[in-house]
Amino acid sequence: MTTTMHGPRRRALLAAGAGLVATAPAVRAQGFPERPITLLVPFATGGYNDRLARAMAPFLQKHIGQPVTVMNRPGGATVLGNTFFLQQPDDGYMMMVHSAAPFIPVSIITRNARYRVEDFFMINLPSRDATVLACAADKPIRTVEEVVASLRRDPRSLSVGIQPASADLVNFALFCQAHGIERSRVRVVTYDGGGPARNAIAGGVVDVGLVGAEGFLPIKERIRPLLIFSDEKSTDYPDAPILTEHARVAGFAPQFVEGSQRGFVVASRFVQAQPERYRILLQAVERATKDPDCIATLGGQQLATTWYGPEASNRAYRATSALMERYAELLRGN
Amino acid sequence: MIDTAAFAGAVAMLAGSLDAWVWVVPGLLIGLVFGALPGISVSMAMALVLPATLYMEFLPAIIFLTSVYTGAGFGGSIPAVLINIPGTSSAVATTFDGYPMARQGRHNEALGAALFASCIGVLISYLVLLLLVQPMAEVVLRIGPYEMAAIGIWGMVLLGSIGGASVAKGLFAAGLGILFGTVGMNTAGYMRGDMGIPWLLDGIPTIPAMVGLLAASQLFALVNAKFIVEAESERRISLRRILAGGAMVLRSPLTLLRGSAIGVFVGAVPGIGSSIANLLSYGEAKRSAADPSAFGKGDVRGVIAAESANSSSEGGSMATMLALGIPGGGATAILLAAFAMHNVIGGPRFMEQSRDVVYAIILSNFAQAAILVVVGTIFVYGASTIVRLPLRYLIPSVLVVSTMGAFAIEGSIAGPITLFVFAVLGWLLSRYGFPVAAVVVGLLLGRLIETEMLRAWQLAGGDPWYVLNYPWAVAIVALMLVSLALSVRRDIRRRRAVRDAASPG
Amino acid sequence: MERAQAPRQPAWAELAVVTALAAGVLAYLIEARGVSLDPQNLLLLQPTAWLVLGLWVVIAAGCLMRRADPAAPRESAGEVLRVLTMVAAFGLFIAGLERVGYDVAICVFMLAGLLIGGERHPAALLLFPPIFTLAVVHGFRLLIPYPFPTGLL
Repeated sequence: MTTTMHGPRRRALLAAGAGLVATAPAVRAQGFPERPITLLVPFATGGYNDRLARAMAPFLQKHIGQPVTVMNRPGGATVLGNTFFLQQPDDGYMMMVHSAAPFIPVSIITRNARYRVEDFFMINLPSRDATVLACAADKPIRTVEEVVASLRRDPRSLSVGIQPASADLVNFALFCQAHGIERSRVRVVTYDGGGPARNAIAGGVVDVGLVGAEGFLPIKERIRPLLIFSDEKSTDYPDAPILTEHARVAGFAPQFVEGSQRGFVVASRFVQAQPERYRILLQAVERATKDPDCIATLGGQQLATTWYGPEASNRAYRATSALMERYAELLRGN
Repeated sequence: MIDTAAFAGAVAMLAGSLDAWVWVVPGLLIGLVFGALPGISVSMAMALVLPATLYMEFLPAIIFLTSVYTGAGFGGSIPAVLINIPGTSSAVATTFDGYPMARQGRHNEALGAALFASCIGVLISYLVLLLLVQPMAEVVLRIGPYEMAAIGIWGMVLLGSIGGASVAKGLFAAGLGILFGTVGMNTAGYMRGDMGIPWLLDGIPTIPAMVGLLAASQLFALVNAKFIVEAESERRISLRRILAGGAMVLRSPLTLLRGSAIGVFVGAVPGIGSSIANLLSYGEAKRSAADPSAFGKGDVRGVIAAESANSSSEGGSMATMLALGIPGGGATAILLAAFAMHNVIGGPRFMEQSRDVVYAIILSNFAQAAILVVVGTIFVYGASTIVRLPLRYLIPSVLVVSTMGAFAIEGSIAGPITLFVFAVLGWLLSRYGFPVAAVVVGLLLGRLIETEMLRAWQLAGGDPWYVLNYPWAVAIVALMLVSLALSVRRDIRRRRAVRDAASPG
Repeated sequence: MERAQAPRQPAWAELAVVTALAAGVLAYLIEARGVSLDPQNLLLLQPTAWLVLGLWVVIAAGCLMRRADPAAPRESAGEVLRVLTMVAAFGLFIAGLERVGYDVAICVFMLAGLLIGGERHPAALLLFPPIFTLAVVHGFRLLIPYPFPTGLL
């Protein structure tokens, strides 16, 4: 749509935009934005990011004074979407809603993507997911200690469902290392997506498995969460033990990486080149995120609206990226 | 098994709400149009109307989306029959006999049969959904890699050498297809054959490749012909003959029921879906027929088998979605997203608490199947005019529309390039007597088989005897071997009989 | 029952096609083995590739041993040339999509397609391509969420 925009139409929109001067004076003074904003989702329709983008769109629209549309560009574990996004002009008319960490660093490590971690700048990553170790509710396994004992006795005794090249895999590797489990001998079954891995765990196809906690929510009753890779109790699974506790009891230093961190992303190049426009986008996202209507609506859809802001979000993104880089060999499957 | 109070509630809900009905016909029409456009799949059609449903009430929104689903399920068969283009990946097997029928001037019957088989398939699948939703969902969730690999291999064996004159060429084509299916990153994370092209990491784009192989190659071969249907007198479009095609469906109840059963079950398994169901059903119909050699040459049973299976997989995948909250494929993923946008979380709790809404959705789909008979007949009547267009207009037009459809899948030039490469390949292969359909089957099943065999291997930790822990998979493979042995024996006998007849003395 | 022996006439074109495909398969196999020799990489790929290469021997031998079949319908050189022109036009169309824009490419290809198909009526040649292009470009703009580059429209 951006590529087919020509002079007359642009002027018409400008004129139409002039009518909105009263609603957002700071924005209009600069003339940005003068046409619709696109939210690019590098995943297929129906996933968390897509739902987040679509749910946020009306509130962003309200605070930015221009229509906001959602565009999906899935493929290649976000490589296609990321590459497409960086090819767009630095005019601020496109933002991404993305599981930026760990998808961007992992795509660089495992898919030889040509962009760098620093090419992306986080505005806010409200959704933070954690890896959960779980089994089907009808399996005889009751606690994480049983899993550890079984795998230490014989690494081949349990099959483990997991996504290759994911935060979950890194967490599993750290877990094995801490407990002295010989990971290369464990029967690891790979699934190319959180959905299929979750189904295999819930159906008891694999004995245990590691998937992001969000994915389990619709079928909570069918699984037994054994361990959450986090340092704070989960509100969704209040009874599940967390890694820091587990590590304290077992006597090792807790080490884990966060699961998917999702939210609004722009290009670093754009932030440098257009600080004013960046500020306008930032303000709009912040206002929309804090809008009580937005909080209520998104809450009803089990979508996160926490405001961490760019500083904390970028810190989290960089930290996850650095950790992923440290486990690059592992992620590449060597 | 049916909660009568909730059932009555559902009837009241549908009877009292005009909103729930006004969207059915537009939904079916949108589905038909999108399904009939090559490249635009069921899930894309639903994704495109999803934003519109945001502003509707919950029930009308879901009914609108399922109408699109139902319409698109049949829409794909129209270009499959008329120009050998499977409008969606679930109409591949429809081309095998539907297109030969069209070339013989029996396009009316083929489309009529496809339409009735689709409608009855939808009806049967929702009936199964109404009665067996919970037990089916339980079974489906437990299906693991062994069973899935067995299903994939079964399909490959049934269809591997489809339509080939020589066994060697058939197997060569099927092997080629499987290899195409393995390009890109596999489930264990190994990347091969991507030639440094980023979009090949996800594998060869299936739909453009398929359209290229089946349709574009066929269009090149038709450059020297005048019309799809050679005989002018056969180019008529006749309501009577469309209905006669529908009647053929009723005369093959076994094919229809078997196709629907395969469709419901395979459709319910997450990650397999209608494109595999229609291949399996076609393969089974061919294998169990008294005269398998009639298939591929314009046998209406082939069309019935394929269409009953692909449309009944809708009910199957709805079962998994409603009972478990798990999307079996793209279409149900979008339905779940629509649920979420209305603050409804699909899954077991929704089934428990809103049984009346679930029944209302099911009942509405019964109505949709019935309405589709009428809307579909009108649509088919219009679409059939394609056979009256001279090929000099039709060929470039269809190539352009296919190219745009291939672009629409990912919004990049990757689709059109794939379309072209596979069109040339398909043309060359069919020119030298290789069965192009076998390449398509290999492409569709190859990735499934690799993924599931790999997981089976991982689950076994490399131990080949581990498979004995999976009696169902062993049973499927054993059944397959027995049926294969029987059909080989039959083939040998028949060949011997033919030879004896040909050379007296 | 044997027919009178027809003279041998190897099917060179078919041999070339099947050999090119087999070469592609071999290259793919070598590339995949270069990625990793782990069974998790080669489980299905390697046996299938060997099967295809084995079948190549059978088919290639068949091509060389082929005997002329006088009953087979022969297409004229003109007909083959026409198909090849169509293939080439389609290839140029795909290559031109992003370069000259979808609208221009479609319009030119439609004109070429009509000419190749044998349409000579000037009114049809002048009117059909632009009208069809207009319909396709506007129709797909409505249908698909992605922008596509256009030259004029």
